[in-house]
Amino acid sequence: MFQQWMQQMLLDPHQKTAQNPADLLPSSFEGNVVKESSRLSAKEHLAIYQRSYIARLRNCMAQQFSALEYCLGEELFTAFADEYLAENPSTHYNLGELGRGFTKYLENARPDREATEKEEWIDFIIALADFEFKLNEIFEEQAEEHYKLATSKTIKSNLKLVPICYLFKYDFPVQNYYSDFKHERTPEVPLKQLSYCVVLRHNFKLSLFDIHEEQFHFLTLLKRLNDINLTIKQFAKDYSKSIDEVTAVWQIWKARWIELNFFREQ
Amino acid sequence: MSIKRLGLPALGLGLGLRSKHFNHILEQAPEVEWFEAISENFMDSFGRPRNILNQIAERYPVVLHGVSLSIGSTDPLNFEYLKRLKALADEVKPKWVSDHLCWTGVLTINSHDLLPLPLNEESLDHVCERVLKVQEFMQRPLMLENPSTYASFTNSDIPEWEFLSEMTKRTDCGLLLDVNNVYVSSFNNDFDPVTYIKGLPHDRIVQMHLAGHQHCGNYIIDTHDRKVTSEVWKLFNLAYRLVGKNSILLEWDGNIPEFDVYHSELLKAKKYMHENMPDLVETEHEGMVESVSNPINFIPTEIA
Ligand SMILES: [Fe+2]
Repeated sequence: MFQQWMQQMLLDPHQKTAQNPADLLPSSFEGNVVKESSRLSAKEHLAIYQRSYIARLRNCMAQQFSALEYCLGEELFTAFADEYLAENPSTHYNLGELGRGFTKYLENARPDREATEKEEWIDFIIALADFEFKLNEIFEEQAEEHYKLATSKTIKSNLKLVPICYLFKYDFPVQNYYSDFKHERTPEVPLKQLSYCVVLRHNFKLSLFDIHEEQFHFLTLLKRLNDINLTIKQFAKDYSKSIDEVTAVWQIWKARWIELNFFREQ
Repeated sequence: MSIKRLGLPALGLGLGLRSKHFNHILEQAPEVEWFEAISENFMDSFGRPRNILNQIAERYPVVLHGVSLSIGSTDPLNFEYLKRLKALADEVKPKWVSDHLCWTGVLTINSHDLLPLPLNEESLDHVCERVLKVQEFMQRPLMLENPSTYASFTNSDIPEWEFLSEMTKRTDCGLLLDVNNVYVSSFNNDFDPVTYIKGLPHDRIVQMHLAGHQHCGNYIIDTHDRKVTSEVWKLFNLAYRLVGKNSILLEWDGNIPEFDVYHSELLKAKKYMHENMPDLVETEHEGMVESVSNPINFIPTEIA
């Protein structure tokens, strides 16, 4: 019961939740549990833990969502992070898990949740949070690593996407914003614009590229069908084009994508 | 009679492995005697951090240092955690695995802090029983570190050094003596750090930690974000003379400097190993805005 009491004192120092620490330990005012010292009262001793608990986790959230923190500014980000952490205390030893529910939290916490007209910038921060967390996951994901990259000489039937290749579609140019921030530029909240990007990991490093809608569709098909000829066929059908037309475009894309390590050789 | 350092090697002077220095270490192969890696930063990683740890472990002795074992918690031991830790240890082949005498949470919550335990017969029994289980599961001895504490409890009746001594006797575990933590805890909780260090079982001390702390007037925070203070060097001198050769590690987790600055601060330890050590100038207290204790860093995602 002592540990439950102390934990409750850290998680909810202002006793906002229904759980009153006094119910957990019969004589639980600080002085009966925590010793006072020559310099500090029992309450002051406990307060050191209370302050560092939230400060440590806030820091971690800020590292996990660094672009989002930049976008919101420290004060607003901290307000969101504090409320999120109060509702979702960590239950995992891996700090990488800390922000797993943050995007959902932001969706639920948006002030215009009930309104029919939604604030655009809130849509953007939700998309950015989603993208940042997914990148963190992709960075640490387990995957096959020892493969040979394709070259311009690789024959079509041996051309496969590298094992870590993710496609994203957002209502905002989230990838541009994120990359600008990571490269120490100072991006501004962008206007709404349907955006597509691909995230690759090769040699443990992430690469992010913007693509356009047709390329997104082509790569989505390729991921699913895992075969270039079938992809070209389906793509031609979806866009009402001839196989020859699609093949011509594909040749251009292929040269560029091989250069950018999109493909492995099977 | 027990074997000194549980028969484990004295690795000399080591540094904490921080993501900021990954490239430097791989490219420059600096002459550091060993590295300590935070287990939780790598246990669930299958990306660049784990790959780099494996590369470093091929070139240097490595030790795994954990922060989430929660050996003192009243929750059951987390065997999923231990399984992951064991898998990492099987891969990295560390010289040993360590964690802290503390609890990190209860009811499955993780506070990510190293919380203090009441030190009494009951908690001693509880901790010892769990240390034995962990050692059996891991098939290796566990090293436990004295944490920095900011509070002590009315139902504590065993001094920490006696608790640690008794724990090593009952479980055959080893100790990681954090000299800075002794200083921090002694200031915060009114005990004599010299009595503490003299009272430890010196042949059980396998490793030592050094770190910088922040003096906030009437309490001290273990911030790991600056140079080691003169008071801590003095205590290190005493501890080293009592323990003899072991493995010394300088922790630095906040405001992490360039690798060479970090390394040169570590190398100062050489000056404080012998009876005749240079005079120390009193360290000035700086930075009154409270920093975070034991900052633990999430390894940030990097993009090309
Ligand atoms: Fe330490």
